[in-house]
Amino acid sequence: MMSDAAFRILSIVSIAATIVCIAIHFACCGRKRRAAGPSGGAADMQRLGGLTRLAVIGTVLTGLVLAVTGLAPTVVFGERLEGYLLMCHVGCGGAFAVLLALTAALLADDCRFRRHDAKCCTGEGGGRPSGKFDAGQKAAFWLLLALGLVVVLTMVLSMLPIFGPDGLELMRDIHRCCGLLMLLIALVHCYQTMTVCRGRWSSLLSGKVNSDWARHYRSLWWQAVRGEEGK
Amino acid sequence: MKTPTANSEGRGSGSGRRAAVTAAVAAAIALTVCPAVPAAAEAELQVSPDPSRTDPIHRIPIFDEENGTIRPDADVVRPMSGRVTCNKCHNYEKISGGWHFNSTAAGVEAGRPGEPWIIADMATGTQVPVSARGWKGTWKPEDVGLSAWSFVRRFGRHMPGGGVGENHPVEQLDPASRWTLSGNLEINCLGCHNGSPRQDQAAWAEHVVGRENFRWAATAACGIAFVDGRTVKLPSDFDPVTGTQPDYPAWVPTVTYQPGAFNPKDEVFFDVRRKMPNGRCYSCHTAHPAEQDERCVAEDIHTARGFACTDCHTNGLDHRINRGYEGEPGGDVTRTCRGCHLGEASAVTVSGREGGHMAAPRPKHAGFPQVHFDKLSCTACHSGPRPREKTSRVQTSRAHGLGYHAMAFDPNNAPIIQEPVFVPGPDGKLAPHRLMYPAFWARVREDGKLTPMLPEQVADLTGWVLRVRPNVVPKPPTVEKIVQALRILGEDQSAGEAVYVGNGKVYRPGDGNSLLTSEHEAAQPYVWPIAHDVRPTAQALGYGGAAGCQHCHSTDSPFLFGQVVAAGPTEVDAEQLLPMEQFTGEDATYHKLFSTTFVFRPWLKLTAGAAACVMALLLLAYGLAGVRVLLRAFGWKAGE
Repeated sequence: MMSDAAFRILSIVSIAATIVCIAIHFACCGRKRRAAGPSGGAADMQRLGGLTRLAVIGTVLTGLVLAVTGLAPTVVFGERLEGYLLMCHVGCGGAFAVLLALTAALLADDCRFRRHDAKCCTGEGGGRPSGKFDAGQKAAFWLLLALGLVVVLTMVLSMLPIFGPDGLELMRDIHRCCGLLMLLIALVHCYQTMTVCRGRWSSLLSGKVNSDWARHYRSLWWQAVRGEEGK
Repeated sequence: MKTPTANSEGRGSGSGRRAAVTAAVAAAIALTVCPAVPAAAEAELQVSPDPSRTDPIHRIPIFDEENGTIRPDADVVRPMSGRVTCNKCHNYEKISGGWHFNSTAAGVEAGRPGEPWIIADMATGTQVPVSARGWKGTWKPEDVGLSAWSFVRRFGRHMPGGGVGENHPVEQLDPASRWTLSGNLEINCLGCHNGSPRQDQAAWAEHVVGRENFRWAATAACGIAFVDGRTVKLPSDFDPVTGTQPDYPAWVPTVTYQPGAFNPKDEVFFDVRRKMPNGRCYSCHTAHPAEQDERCVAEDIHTARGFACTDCHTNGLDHRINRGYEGEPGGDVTRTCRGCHLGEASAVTVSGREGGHMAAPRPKHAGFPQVHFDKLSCTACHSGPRPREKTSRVQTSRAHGLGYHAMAFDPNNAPIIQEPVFVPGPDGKLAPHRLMYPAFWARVREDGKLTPMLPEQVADLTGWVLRVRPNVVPKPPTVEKIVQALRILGEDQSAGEAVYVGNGKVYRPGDGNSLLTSEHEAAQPYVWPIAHDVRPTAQALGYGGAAGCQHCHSTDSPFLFGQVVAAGPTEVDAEQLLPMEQFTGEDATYHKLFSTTFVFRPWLKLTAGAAACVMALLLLAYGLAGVRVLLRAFGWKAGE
């Protein structure tokens, strides 16, 4: 079993390492990629539907609450999650599970890996053509979904009279490690999407993106949408 | 140590030659039945228990306190002395350092608080917890005016002898003491070790408390002799050496050994068992829910399964009995709940680390998060009566004289003890406790501390205000009586202000028939943990899957939201109901809220479970297909 102190160290080190890696990446190549892309312009292309936006925003918000309530007691105070924070964590956990499943159902088709995603991975094709979501986003999506499944399952199984205290401790360790991993992936995803690709938080609310931005970063999707409009 | 030879000067021991022969027989038997005794010219005391698993046969000569061999046909028949008789093979001095006898010994760790001795008197509204061990919340005997003599006279009925019964330094002698007449209250070895159904602890109580026959009590109780006479009736100037007094023939204690108790060699058979019967322990350690029919009281699951008390409460020759709680100074870590059922990592032996002692099952505790084991003792869920809306009264052998025919059994008798009250133990874990609010009359010292008064002192000073006629069942004192008694006691200002303590408050007389109340540390309740009876698993709190969670996690759970009856032997502020959280120290608001979430928990499980299914299906349907696409893109083909 992992002690609370060990998890505290793991959390601090992994979060710090991720941030450092992001900083290094930004300094080395992220800044150049960011500079190469378009900036500004009106959001004129509908990318996400209303329900999808609602699901994503809900997932993000509940995920944030879970991250704070789950990690703060251990990382900041060196204490076990209990009391009111635990209640808040469990309550939000239920909502998170539902919203994550809904988000997954709404975005799964758009996040299917396709042939061009492999090109993106291998660097073939130069311009890295991508659909509505690029390969990095899709990878993040499926990873978050897989980890989310583990997180939700460990939570549900812990509430059933199946495992003894040792088994429940193992469940808790898996739960919090997967939760931590989700947080790290979310951090990288946010960096990639918001900083490198110059995405906007506002597009989450409006569901729209700028067409120049789409043509540069999501060329296949842009072409498909324009093709549809042409018809 | 040497085996003492028979004292040829001992009264009633017959001729010196016969005594010498008897001593030789005793030594031979000692060597025979105790293989650990070295075969030396002079037998030495056994220093470690005989490891044989058979019951040791005790067919032995018996000796009086002056080392004279006892014969039933002697001119003067004297009572048996455990100190001399048992010491022939078993080191009495070492034994007398055991837990049951060492409360006043120096350098003994007090350990976890236990059941105190209780000075109880309903007529004066008194119940004072007393212990020489200095447990917080108890009074030391000397602090309440009890000398060794008065302590034994009051509590000797349930004492195993030894301790203050025989170690009472001359300088501390109470002028009222009559040790020279009564004799010492030696350790009553057979009180615990006698397997015979004739062992009569009620006779012990009668001879100690009722008759002051300390020297004769063990003999009267062990079932081989009839003891008559009452030392308590003898005048203080009576000469016990002369043996008889024409003026008081009926009161001088006499012993008549039962015909057939001795064999032709003047030996007596004692049914001493390796595992003593549980009834011996129950003589002093019974607890009975006062409001419950005795037929409905379930047995401890361990004894129901055939355990003897001594299977867990083990001891060596030193009689340092394992009390059985975790963290016990010098305790056996393998004989705790954890030690037997889970194994104790700090145990020296492999079996101790693995657990399973006496076939103890390893509990699964399925669905119980670790926090339960961090915050609750094993007994919280498994021991004592199941918590109900209100705590209920309990009676114990030592507090209420259960099992002693001479004591009038009245379920309403003081002291008033409540159970179960959940209080954090020394390890910080919540555990069920018994609770008693001290109630007594006291003088306030200059430093503000209280000096309790004994009930008989109060009764003497207050006359008929707090007295009842003989054979009348006393009732708890009313407010009027308390005010009246306080005014009478207050007349003697030189002794200090008189107050009455009860139900968690200190009372002083107010205007008219009213009482003024204030807080005082001495009024705080004394609590001690409940270890038995252990309930079977099916009756443990939390058993039964999701429904079991609601034993504690419901908004009306007695465990968290029950009420503690703060009652004492008085009608003042009688039966106040205090919330359990006042004792548990838990945040009731949080637990109410948390318990409310359990109403929605089934929905949470269902919803989250459904969400997990959706996610799993999506992963299977899209994720795996996507992986296939990627693999193909990288040039992988099925079948390669």
